[in-house]
Amino acid sequence: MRFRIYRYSPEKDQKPFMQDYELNNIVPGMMLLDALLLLKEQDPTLAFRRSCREGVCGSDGMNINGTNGLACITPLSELKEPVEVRPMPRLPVIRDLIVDMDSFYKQYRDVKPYLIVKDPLPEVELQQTPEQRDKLDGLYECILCGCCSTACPSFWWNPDKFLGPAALLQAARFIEDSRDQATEERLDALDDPFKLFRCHTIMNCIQVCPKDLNPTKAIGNIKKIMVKKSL
Amino acid sequence: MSAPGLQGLRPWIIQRITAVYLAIFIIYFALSAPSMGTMTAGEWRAWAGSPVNTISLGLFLIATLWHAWIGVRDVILDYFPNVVARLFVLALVAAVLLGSLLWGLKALLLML
Repeated sequence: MRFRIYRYSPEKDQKPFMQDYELNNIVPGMMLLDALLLLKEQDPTLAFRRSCREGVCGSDGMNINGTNGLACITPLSELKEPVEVRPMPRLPVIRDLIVDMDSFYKQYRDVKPYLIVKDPLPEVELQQTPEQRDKLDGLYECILCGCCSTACPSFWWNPDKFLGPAALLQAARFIEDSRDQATEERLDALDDPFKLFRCHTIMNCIQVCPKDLNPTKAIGNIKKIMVKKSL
Repeated sequence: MSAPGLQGLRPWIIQRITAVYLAIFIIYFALSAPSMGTMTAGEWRAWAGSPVNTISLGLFLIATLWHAWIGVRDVILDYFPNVVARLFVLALVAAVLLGSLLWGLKALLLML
């Protein structure tokens, strides 16, 4: 099986280039990550992130044949040859397929991704009805792999000012949470021309999310709640 | 702040309200105005001169330009990261739209 992989080492390469590789020992059922690990045996200089190898940790987000996804849950049998593997778009490349996620994590921190409770905490846990808990389904499962944000054209144009689908999904997760007592502040913080309203429902985020989440819908819900509050 | 004076939610709501008005007005116009191809100046004047039509035409003018302003503003916010260039293009668009507003209002007033 043939592969074309983006290579770039800022310390020694003038500019990025695509390197061709070939693997003969492909076994049915192999994922792209398995192939990358075999290629790394061939060429130990090839660099990429991976950890859990089962789509839970979100470390191996990359651009596979033009679409962002996790290498560990992308079956080789579904890929057209040569398989073109590039780093996720728009983030600075540290080396080969490894991107600098700092700005992505900063956006995540910007939405204050934790419960804010102003009342004194109860002695036991904060309780929710099953219906209140159901509202968090489709929001809390995000693994922060970055596939959605780096597939979003609005993020490409304004990566520093638009929060991007991943962070906005988390904003929605805490706005929808019945236990959170900072809903108003959260909504006010997003009422800005860039942070939320650069989303033009392009929906690349839904297409690439490896956990099948729907950030576009979450962003739409934030807008709905904002409108209700402003009336 | 990256875009002084520009807001998020308000323009988004106005864009939607003006869109609804534009859709309703265009249907009303198509059904009630004399046909564009054969209409004479006199017929047009008579239609636009009735109070309901003058007011709805005036609102149409404002809604169109406001809707256009928000839409073009959004495109400019997307594609002009440089603040100076962005302000220049925004001012240019604002000037064209304000000019159109005055021109349209003048045409409407002449109708009366």
